[in-house]
Amino acid sequence: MSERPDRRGSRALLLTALLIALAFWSLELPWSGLKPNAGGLKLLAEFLSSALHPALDYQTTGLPAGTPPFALALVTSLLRTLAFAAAGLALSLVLGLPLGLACSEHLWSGSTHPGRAARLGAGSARLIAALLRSVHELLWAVLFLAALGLVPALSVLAIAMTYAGTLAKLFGELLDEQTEQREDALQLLGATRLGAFGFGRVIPALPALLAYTFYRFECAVRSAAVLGFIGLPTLGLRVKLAFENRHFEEVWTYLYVLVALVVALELWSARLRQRFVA
Amino acid sequence: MTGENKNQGPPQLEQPNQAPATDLNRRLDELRSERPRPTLLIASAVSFGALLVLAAVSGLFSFGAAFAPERRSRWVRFLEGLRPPEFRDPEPGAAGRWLAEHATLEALITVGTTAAIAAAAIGLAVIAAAGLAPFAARTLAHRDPHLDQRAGLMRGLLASLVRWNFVLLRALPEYVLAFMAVAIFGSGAWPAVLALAIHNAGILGRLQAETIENLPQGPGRALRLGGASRVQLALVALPRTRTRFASFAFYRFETCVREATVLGLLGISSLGYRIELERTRRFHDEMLWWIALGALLVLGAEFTSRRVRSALR
Repeated sequence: MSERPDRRGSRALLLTALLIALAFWSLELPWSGLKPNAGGLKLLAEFLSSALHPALDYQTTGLPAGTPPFALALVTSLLRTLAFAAAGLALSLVLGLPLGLACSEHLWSGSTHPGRAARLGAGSARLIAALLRSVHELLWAVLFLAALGLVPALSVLAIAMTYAGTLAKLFGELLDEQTEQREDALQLLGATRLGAFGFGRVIPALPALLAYTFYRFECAVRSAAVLGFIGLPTLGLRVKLAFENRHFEEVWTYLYVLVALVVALELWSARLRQRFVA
Repeated sequence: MTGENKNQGPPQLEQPNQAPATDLNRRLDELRSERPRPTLLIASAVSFGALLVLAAVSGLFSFGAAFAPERRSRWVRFLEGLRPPEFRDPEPGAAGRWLAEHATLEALITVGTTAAIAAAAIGLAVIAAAGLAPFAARTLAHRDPHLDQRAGLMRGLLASLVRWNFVLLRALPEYVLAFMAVAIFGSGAWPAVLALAIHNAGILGRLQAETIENLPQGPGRALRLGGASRVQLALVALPRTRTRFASFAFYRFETCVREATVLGLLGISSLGYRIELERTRRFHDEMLWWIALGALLVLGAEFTSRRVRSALR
């Protein structure tokens, strides 16, 4: 008896490996594609040789008057990246928390067995969340870009749409995972259905939600940096422009700053999670 | 949050009645100072608040401008443009014609390419992670596998080097890596596959190393005492961790599909390439069609991955 699921697992893994091989074959990835062409090789050499001396000043000469000093511009785009991430995440909390509540069947039915109406309500909330997160934040941004051009607030909204979807999904799951007992006890004591839901289910789920939100901030910083590639004034824009102008020493400075930022946030959020989700 | 219950029951009641009240106060002060203080949480909340203020000042929340009445005509025009012409004045069979024109082999191939990029990248990332993780897992890499957990100078150094390597691999977003890879390798599928593989190797490597560390020590210890070499123990860890490892890999496959879609914006032949192309041509209905295909693919990947993961559990 105990052999069977194991063997089924092996077969599934074998099938997956075959599918991955099929993917490689279908993409027609020749090993020679890994050898950069002559131009690419020169570029690579130039790029890598700049790694050890990142720029401390602009690599261009003859900048227009009034260009902010390099360090100031760097700090500004760093802060902008963080501000975009924070704004996107805050907005996604505003959109995602109510949606997350609605994703839990217990909001609709209390601790009693969920009826058809409850399943319908939670199901449609889950569908909305799925649709929101199925479109990458960069694609929401492209969509808004097509509508109105580059408006910073709309890029924040783009981050918020996708993140609201992920947040709502996770929050709904967290709520459904909570033990029934607290909610039942509160209702037996005479709490209203929503009161029992709020205090017996939502509040106990908050620390885990908080921890997850910290982790999402780290992701939001990455997203905000990437949004620079479609023109937002974040670190990504600096990387893109410097790379296109072949100012590789500048590129390395931006990359080092981005890596340091992400690593610092990862350490920070790991400590917070350790502290709050035991 | 967790500390309140812990400090509730010191033997205050046993104190003799004539004890000066200052003793009690001192004890209370002691307890108060022992109470865990959420300094880190407060610091995080304050910095987050400061960032929000900065965001508000720099106009990141000025939705008023984006949705102002004078912009309304642009929104209306944009939303009108999202609807394919066939659906604007419905005549019989228009929807069918539209579908026949769009649900083509080419669309299927583009969706397939996107999925294949993600699958190939996950394949490479799994190989890299499985190969590197034993060097990072403390239980295997430190002085004596499963027996002596002290780091040791050289072995400890190697283990932390590999762990930091994982951190660096995953630090840069896939999109940034792909952007640079396109410049170096040209715009085939390799840049996308490499970028996704590098980022995910860092994530999967760390998760696999943690999984190995969390394995029960007994079997490994027994094998070690029976004379198994370090390499043999690392090989034994692979089947022991495979369900968890596979589950992580499928979870990362989901995000890989999302990212593979988007990497097309860089000129790689995934769905994003079509989206960007139609945007620059201002064929917004076509753009929406490709975005919708991407959403379907992502949902499909999510569904598959969830089914596989729950089956593995």
